[in-house]
Amino acid sequence: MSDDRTFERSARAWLELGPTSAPDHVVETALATIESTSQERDLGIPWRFPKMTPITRLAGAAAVGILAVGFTLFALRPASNVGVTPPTTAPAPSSPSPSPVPSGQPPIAEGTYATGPIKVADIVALINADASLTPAQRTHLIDVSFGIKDHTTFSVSIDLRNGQYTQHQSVDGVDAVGSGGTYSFLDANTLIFRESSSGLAGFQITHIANGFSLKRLDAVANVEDAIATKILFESGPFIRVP
Amino acid sequence: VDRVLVERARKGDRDAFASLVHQVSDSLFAVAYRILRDTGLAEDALQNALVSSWRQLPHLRESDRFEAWIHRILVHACYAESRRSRQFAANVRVLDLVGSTTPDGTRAVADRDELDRAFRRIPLDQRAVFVLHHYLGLPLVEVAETLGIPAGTARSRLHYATRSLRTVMTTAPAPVVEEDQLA
Repeated sequence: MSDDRTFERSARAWLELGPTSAPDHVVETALATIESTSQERDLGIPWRFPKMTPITRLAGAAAVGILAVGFTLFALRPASNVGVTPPTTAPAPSSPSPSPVPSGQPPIAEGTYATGPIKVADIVALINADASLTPAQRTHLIDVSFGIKDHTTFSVSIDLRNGQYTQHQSVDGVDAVGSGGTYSFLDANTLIFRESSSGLAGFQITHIANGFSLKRLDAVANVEDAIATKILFESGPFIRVP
Repeated sequence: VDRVLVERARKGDRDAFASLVHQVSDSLFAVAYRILRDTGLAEDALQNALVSSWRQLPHLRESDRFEAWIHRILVHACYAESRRSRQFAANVRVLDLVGSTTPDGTRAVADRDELDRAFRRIPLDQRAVFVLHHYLGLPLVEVAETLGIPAGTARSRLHYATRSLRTVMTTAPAPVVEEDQLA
């Protein structure tokens, strides 16, 4: 191999060696997995415009600014006086308007919150009772998504810290991370999770002593996501772990 | 690749996606094998890449870029697969290398063995550029676009890969196995 041409020829000939067909079982397994895998939701907003002229850049910045101001005004609005006839008796002039999110104090304190043990049999029954799922989807949920086949107990925990959330699921005491991302509060009773792969999810919070329960606010189009949400986020109450 | 199929798959049509998979999986597997030099790892990388591409397909903006887009996903799946299995992959390859060094008396086989050993030693990102350029025959600009890297970076990776291969082949008859450098 004394010159470049010889080297390239040898390299190309060498690269030609080896398999050129994908094994059928690999493709079939992938397609079977895809049967029970939902696509990520597309918000329709490209991360970057193909060409950003100064005008489009300015317009984008203005739009972001308007959205930020709008969100702030919405988050700080009085919670319960929209559309309600003011009382005939004047309130005490010094009493401030109720604030949905007390400043400096989030509606849910940072920490780890967990459900108690849930019987796997109950989850399996819930999945099997869902008529909108196909048999293959049920099997995939039980065996793969939750990995609870032949197990006994299941629990869920949510870790909320510094604006980041991590959702864990535990099967017979073996812990695994389910999802993660950022979280924020729209108001005292609305929690927003943003996961990088699946986007935004809004939950109504019901506050209880030392914890909370969640109820999904927005519709979940995919039947598997819907039941996963029910099991992973709505199976509370979530009680703060000391 | 049929753009109509890509558009249908983007909107959640699994049958359309299956058709696309049958069109591109051979090429994807061939590339994965040549980057990873391991059939098992290449199979896992292909499988993960196909599932990832299904999940991410709604984000694809330009249907006619499907092949480049899915090759990028595949290359990242190769990186991930190599990282994930680095420890036990080395053991598998010991046997592979011992078998391949059995002399058969031909210069061509000796060259292939040298190339094989040398190739396993260069970083994966250089291997990816080398395979896309020399095996798929993509010009460097397209390699760069496929991998989402600047053209200059693609050029330098190809340069370093080529130099590493030439250096090893011309100066150092490699030891049979250096496990911590494999994959």
